[in-house]
Amino acid sequence: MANRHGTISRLPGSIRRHASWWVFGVLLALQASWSTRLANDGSLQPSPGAPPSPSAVRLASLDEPELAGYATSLYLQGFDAQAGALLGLRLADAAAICAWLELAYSINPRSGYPLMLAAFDYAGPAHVHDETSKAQSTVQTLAARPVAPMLLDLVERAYIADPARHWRWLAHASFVARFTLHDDERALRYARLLRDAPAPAPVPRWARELDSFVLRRRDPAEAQRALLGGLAFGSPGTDPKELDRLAARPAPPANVQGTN
Amino acid sequence: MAADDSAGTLARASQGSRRRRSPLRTIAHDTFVEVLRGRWLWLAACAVLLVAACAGFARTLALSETQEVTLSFAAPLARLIAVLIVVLTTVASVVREKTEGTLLLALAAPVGRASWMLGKALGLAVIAALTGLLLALPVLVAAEPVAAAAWTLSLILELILVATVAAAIARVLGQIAPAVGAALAFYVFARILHVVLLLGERAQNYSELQALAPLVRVLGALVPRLDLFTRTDWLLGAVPSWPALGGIVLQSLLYCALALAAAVIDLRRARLE
Repeated sequence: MANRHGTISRLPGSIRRHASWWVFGVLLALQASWSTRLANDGSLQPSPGAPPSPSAVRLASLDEPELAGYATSLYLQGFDAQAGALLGLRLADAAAICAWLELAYSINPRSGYPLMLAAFDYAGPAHVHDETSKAQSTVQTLAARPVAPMLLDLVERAYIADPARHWRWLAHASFVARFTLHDDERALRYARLLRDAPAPAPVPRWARELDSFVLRRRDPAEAQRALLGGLAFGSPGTDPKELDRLAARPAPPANVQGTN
Repeated sequence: MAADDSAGTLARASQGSRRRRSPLRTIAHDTFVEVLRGRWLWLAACAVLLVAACAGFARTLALSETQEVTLSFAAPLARLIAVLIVVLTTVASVVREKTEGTLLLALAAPVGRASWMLGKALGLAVIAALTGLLLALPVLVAAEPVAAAAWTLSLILELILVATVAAAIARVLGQIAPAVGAALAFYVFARILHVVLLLGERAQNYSELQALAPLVRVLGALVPRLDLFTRTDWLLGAVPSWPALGGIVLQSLLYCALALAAAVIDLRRARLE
């Protein structure tokens, strides 16, 4: 004890007077360096894991389905942009992503956000190419069902449940089916659903005539411009961010082989 | 400071007849001033900034439906933080009166116990209403006016209800930590109980829990239906009907009266020393 007091007394006076501040500063620097090490481990997480049940999410959000639904979608949206890199379906667990989108939709079926992620992002050209190359690079005894059609199925189900809210995502899905998946049968089925939309649903004329307005065009870029024009000028209330993204998206190449 | 407040309350209450100011109003005023001195306004202002920052962050992340995403984050967050502020403020105010002995000083004046409790609840209700107004600001900026007005009114009523219940719980338990825990547990229970009941009815294979169902239903009848209050979907196009809003007003009045009655019963039977 005496020795320790002697050691402390040999320290400069300014340090002894502010000893607690010095200790606090050193501990704070240690904490900052520890956090930095944890944050930058650089590993990519390949799967968002199995989603929780809708009931658990609803309870955890204190029965705020809107918050829970959007938070789930934003979590998934942020998941494929980890550590500054875009993680495509080739690396990610596509089935898990599909399950998370189903969860987000089931919690808040009024929102089209998960349908946008499904039709516009995950079933879009980049992810479909990821998926195709994954299927070609792995030897599989049983052919796994491609995830893009499953995502479009989700959009179709949502449209049938609530055509007034979700018609625009079915129009996107029809475009993706025709020009990215090259699944003309599916694209025409969606176009027919839009054409036969019940009268009260505010489906604009161009969407009801999607077959002639968009799908019959040979050039995907031209078809994408037609879709953009319909959404921008024929669909009041379309979010400007959505139009910006559609305008910025490169059109699917015309010569890509489809998954079917 | 609390002793000064209490002395002021005592003096003003005893001079009430001369000034024609009711003791109830005096106690409410002093409660309000005491909470203001506890930096409640700073806390509420910081909470408003936090809600606005979180909603703005969510808005920047949104790729579509930006308005809906903003409101879906701002509204529940504002609601939850407002409840936390009201519960903490209320419980601290009521418990302080007991632990610092100012309740005894106030009751030494010609003020009935019921009047003291009513005055206290009135002051705390004003604080709850102002908290609701402040925390609704980020929502009022972003939402349609009619929907935002209905949501704000409902938030104010919900906070007044929560303040009254928290005051009654604090009066009964007399300690800050258990009272805050119990008030928050009550709130969460009242918010999610109907979801639990719904899940219980849907689940066919939980037969061993069926015996608990009547108990849960009885509990459900004893707590207010806070799940019907301050709903975020009102801000997203589903504006509530007048009967729905009227039901919320009635529920608030009824439950505030119930909680006050419980608090007065406890205060009347308590031996104050």
